[in-house]
Amino acid sequence: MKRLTVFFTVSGCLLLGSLRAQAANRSGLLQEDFPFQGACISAKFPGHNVAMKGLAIRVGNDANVLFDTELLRMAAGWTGGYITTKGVALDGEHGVHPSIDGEQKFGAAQLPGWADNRGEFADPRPEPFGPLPDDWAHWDGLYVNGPNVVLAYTVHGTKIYEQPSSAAKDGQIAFVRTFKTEKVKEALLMAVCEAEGATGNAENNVARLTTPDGKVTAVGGVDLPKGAGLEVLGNRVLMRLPQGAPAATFTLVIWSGSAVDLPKFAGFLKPAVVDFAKGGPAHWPREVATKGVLETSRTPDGAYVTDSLTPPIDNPWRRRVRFSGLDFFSDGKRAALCTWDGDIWIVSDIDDRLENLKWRRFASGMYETLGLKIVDDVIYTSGRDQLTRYFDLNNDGEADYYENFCNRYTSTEGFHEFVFDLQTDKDGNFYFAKAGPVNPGGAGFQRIAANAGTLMKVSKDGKKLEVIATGFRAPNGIGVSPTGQLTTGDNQGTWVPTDPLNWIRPGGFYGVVDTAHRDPVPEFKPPLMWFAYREYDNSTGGQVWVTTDQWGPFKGELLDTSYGKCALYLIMKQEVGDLMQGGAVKFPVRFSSSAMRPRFNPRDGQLYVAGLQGWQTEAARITGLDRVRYTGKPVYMARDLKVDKAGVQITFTQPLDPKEAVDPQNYSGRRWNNHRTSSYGSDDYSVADDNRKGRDHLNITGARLSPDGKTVTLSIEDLRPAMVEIIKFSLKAKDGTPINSEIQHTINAIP
Amino acid sequence: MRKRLCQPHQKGLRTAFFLAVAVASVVFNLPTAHAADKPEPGLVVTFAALAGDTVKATDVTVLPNVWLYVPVGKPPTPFLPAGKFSVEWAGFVSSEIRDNYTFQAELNGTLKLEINGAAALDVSVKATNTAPSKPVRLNKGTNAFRLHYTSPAEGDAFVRLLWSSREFGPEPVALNALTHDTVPELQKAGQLRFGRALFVEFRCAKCHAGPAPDAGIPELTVDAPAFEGLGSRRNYHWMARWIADPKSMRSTARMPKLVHGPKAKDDAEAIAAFLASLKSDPAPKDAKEAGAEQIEAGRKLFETLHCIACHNTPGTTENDPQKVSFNHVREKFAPGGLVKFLLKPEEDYAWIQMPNFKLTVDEAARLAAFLESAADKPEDVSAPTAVAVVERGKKLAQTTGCLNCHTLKIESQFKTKSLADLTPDKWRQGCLAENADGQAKAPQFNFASSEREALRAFAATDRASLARHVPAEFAERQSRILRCAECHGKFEGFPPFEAIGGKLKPEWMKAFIGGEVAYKPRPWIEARMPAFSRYAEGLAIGLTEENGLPPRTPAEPSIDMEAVKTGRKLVSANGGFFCASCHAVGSMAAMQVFESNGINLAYTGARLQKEHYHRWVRNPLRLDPASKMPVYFDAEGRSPLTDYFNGDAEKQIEAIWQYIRLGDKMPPPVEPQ
Repeated sequence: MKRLTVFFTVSGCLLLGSLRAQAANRSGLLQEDFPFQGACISAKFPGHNVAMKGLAIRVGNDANVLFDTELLRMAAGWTGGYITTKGVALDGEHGVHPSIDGEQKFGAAQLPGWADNRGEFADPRPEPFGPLPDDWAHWDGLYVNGPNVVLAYTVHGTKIYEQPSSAAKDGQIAFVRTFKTEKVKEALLMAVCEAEGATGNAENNVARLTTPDGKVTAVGGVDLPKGAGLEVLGNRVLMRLPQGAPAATFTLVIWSGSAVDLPKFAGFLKPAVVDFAKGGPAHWPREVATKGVLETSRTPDGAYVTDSLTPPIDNPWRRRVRFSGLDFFSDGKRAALCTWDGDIWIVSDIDDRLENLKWRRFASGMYETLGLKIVDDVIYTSGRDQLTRYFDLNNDGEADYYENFCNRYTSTEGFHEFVFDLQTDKDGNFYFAKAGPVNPGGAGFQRIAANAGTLMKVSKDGKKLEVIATGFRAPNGIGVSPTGQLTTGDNQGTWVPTDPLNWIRPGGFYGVVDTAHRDPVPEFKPPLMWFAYREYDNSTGGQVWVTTDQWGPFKGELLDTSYGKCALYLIMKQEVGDLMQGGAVKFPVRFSSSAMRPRFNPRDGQLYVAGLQGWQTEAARITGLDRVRYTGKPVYMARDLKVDKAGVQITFTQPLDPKEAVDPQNYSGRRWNNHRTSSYGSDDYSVADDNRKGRDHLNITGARLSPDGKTVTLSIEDLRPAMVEIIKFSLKAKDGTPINSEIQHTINAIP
Repeated sequence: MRKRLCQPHQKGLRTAFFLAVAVASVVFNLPTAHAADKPEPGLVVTFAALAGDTVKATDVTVLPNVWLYVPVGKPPTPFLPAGKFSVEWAGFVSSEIRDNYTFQAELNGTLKLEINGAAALDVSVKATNTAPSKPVRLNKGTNAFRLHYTSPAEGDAFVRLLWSSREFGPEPVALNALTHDTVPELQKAGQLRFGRALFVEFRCAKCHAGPAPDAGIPELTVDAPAFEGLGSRRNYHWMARWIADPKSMRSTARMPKLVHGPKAKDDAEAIAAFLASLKSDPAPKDAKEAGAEQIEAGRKLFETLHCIACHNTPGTTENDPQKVSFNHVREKFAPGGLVKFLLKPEEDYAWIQMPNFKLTVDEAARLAAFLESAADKPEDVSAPTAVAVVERGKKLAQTTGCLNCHTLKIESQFKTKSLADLTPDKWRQGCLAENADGQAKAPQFNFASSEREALRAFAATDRASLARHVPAEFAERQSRILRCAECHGKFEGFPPFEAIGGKLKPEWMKAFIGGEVAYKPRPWIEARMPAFSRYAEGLAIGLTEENGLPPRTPAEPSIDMEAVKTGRKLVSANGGFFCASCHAVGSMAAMQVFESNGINLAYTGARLQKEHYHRWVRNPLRLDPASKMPVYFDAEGRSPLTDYFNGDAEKQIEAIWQYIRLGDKMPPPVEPQ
């Protein structure tokens, strides 16, 4: 242990939250009792210093650091606050993201935190988004152990663990970075901090920077391995670890203040890293019990009912609950749900009666997780920053290791660059979608980075990412069929005239020119269907295929949910040449919040739908988890749809009253087109006259019934391709049961 | 900028109403374009003045809906006296599919409704709502509709018909569901209305004195640009040309040609010279020539304010005769005069159709620079100042009738027959002579033959209608003349004109139309509602009564502070509908606006009719299919939030109303932590 010219001491890591921090936290948006929060976060210096995928880490003594998981740099350290609550997923404001809140003490430029193998810090990326090349630097993940976070990453083959903390004495606070390294494989050079306009020097493992205004930033190294040392290069402090340096645990101490306070530090630090590999104490050992409510709504035929799994909105941590991803463990009695706020909840005792639901918090702090998938009973989430895999190392019911499963996609400051949903195919590959960086206000886009507005696939091992399709705006949910067929929704806006349901073909382009990522922009092929914006879908949810026998007569069919309209639709498909087309019929049930993430439970075979209230929706509650349960009663609804030259064929689940079925008075319809342009959305235009605004009335001239009584063929005057066509019917089944409903479909082609 | 009145067969039906059908068709889609004889929008409405049960007189018109409000002691139409009356609405009600509907009414009087010949409602009610009818099965397409109403013995007469179905709660029957086949009586009654409208629009009573203005309908007080100080506002040369033949300069001019014969040009110049001598403080002249930047800024402002609703665009070939052109603007206005005019158009002419946009001086200067940049260069002709000429002009002004419309504190020596003396046989002479030769010295209005016929039809009545103010008809006439529907329903963010009357409280509407509301309800819209101060009250009351609503908002009980607490929670993000995501609440800005701005809720209580508010919140898409406002409640009136009032939608909506009624005293919908 070397003597230091300036001595530092640890006076105990007292968690003294400042009044400001308390004020911010009283809003319930940020947690005081959890050590980190992921977000895009701005620091005040040097220069434009934004961690696109940042972790704001509480390090005690009212101090915080900002770690950038893409550039592997400690972007800033500050005291006196935490982060601001600005942002779509925090206070709800559009077009902004959080900033560090308080007095910044040190900062590192928005450049790689570790130099390349030539000792250079130049940013090698084609654009300032996405991770550094793997063989240079890889973000492995983080461990949570009580109030401590241990960052794990690999630089030029050398595994590094780092525990940020702080020390306080005599009114001064120092930032402490304790490293645990294995034997250094290749020489490493780390950027510690820099100060604008500063000059300085380093000797005896202490580096000092002094700015023209007299502010001093000092960095001390304690227990550095042999050959390691601090350097000042220009206005930056660097730490060098020579090739072959032995495995070590050592510390860097960073302090800044006025020169007169510099001598206040005396003593030295004893490096220590918590034993992170064993996991730490539970943060949320308490269970929240809720009682579900059966039959909150039912279809008129009584075939389907909804049951509400009451969410843990009232919880001891006053944590906001907004479910954004859902999947079941293999026993079907437990499910995991992620939230937009970055938590994971596990609910257990899901049974028929739902009387004893138990909720546990499993993880927290993640950056806008909007998708969740369980594979082999291990939870994965998709977030703005990465796909994350969670490990509970000590089996206490909480995640201790948050592994970066794949962060090979870009994320900019754009508030609307959501990462949506997480699904797997039969081979175990992962799929998710990413929104375009829509401008605040909704029209047009901010800077488009490589993965904006794309559908992506990640290999089973997380190592390979590929873009499957492009041209999306806000594809909130995706679906993967048992055979691997992909579907997505999208939301009305620039280049999206109304919400589509896309039948994905690899390499396809789905309409948004700004996010085509190809030149020339590929030909646009129409989606499976366009939704009537006002009536059917103004903001899409997700899709799911019926994979169970217990859910009525629809096994093998595709279902779609509307986030905005809080609705569930059966999707009726027809293949016409190389195009798909089809329509939707609504299951008239009601959800307790939006209908965003549908998933079948492998145990009871029923459909569960999670949702939240976060942007424009008819959802009345902040979140909900509902079960759509088949009661076993006969189903009375449309179930299939085909268009040909004879007209529109609608097949019902039951034979119809023949007299009613063949009377055209019992049918009516409308149709219209929307115009796909660079403007936001579209007005409705006549199908007959593309220049005329408005909707056309359908002239239904005849109705014929098939011999089995289940299929009606409607003769429609001037039947032709239309983006949106609604056919309403007021019928009776053969047994007298009324069938008052409608279908909505798209005609891309008439075979 | 007069829009030509409709042709003689016009039926007093609102122009805006026709527009409404286009808009409303998305709410309620109807079979259209099937029948060869396509029914027309609205219902045929036959009013009958009654003495006991005996019909004394009738009047026929077309109205958009079964909406009527006649305050006690007021006439139901201009052509019938006040007193007991009956009304029959006839035509068709349409359904898009064969389905069941129920009908009910807000009513004072007796009502009998027949659909397809069968009685649906038969009630006599004193100022309340009727019970809903039994379900009535409507066929797909048109169904014969007949509703007979008789005014009550006491109180204001009113009726508003509502319908409901499986899919929606009680609401006025959709406008495009009501149609009629034309009937011969409409032709005659329409001609009469047209004649009366022409009579007031052309200010005939200014020369042919009829009822005293304070005893007549408001339009009898319509003025014309004041002559005081006119010489400082208008250029001599323009005035001379205008007086010589107004219609040659603007085809829609109402001012007649008053100078005739070989001396006409001299006479016009003399009058202009006299008017040019009437000086007041001149407007400050622009110190410097407007630069390209200012002209461009003016062009943008011209677009923003939607001036094209009433004006042809300067510098283009647009030449709509119904719109006012700016070609003469430099010729017309004295230097600096255009800016002064734009700042306060009503300064010298209270009933001017040009509204007050409350422009800043800079804005007015920019706009003027743009308008002048494309206008014809004026000829440099200065006004004759010779005393003899000016005096001759003065005499002419006094003797040709100028001063019957234009004010100036000298005596008008123009005399003609009073209205009472103008027996119907005389309505073929003078102003109404078939050709100019026959008009001799009379003012020349260049009426079309259909207009002359209409005026004669009006002449044949007792003309008592000039003293019968029916606000709904006033609003119909004036909104057409003011071209309200050229912006409303046409430009983004402008509520359709026909949606206004049943929506806004008349008190607030009057203040808003009159330019007395200090805030902008939709601050995100660049355009602004200009002030039509002289018209505000008449339009507000007329549009309200036209919708079957009382001209004064009925008083509400004092605010229920317990309900306010619930309402506040319901508006909040915490357990409520999070209305505050798109609506500002007082000084608290909206939190998550995404192409979905909502109006500050603190304004709502003063703005909206309570019933409209309830219907709007219950299902916004029924009122505005393009609305981004979510539909939270189902057709059965259930709320998804079951924690309040057991999920009773109406009670929850009412609790929010109580909270909203606090107006600028609304506490923000954020729970104290």
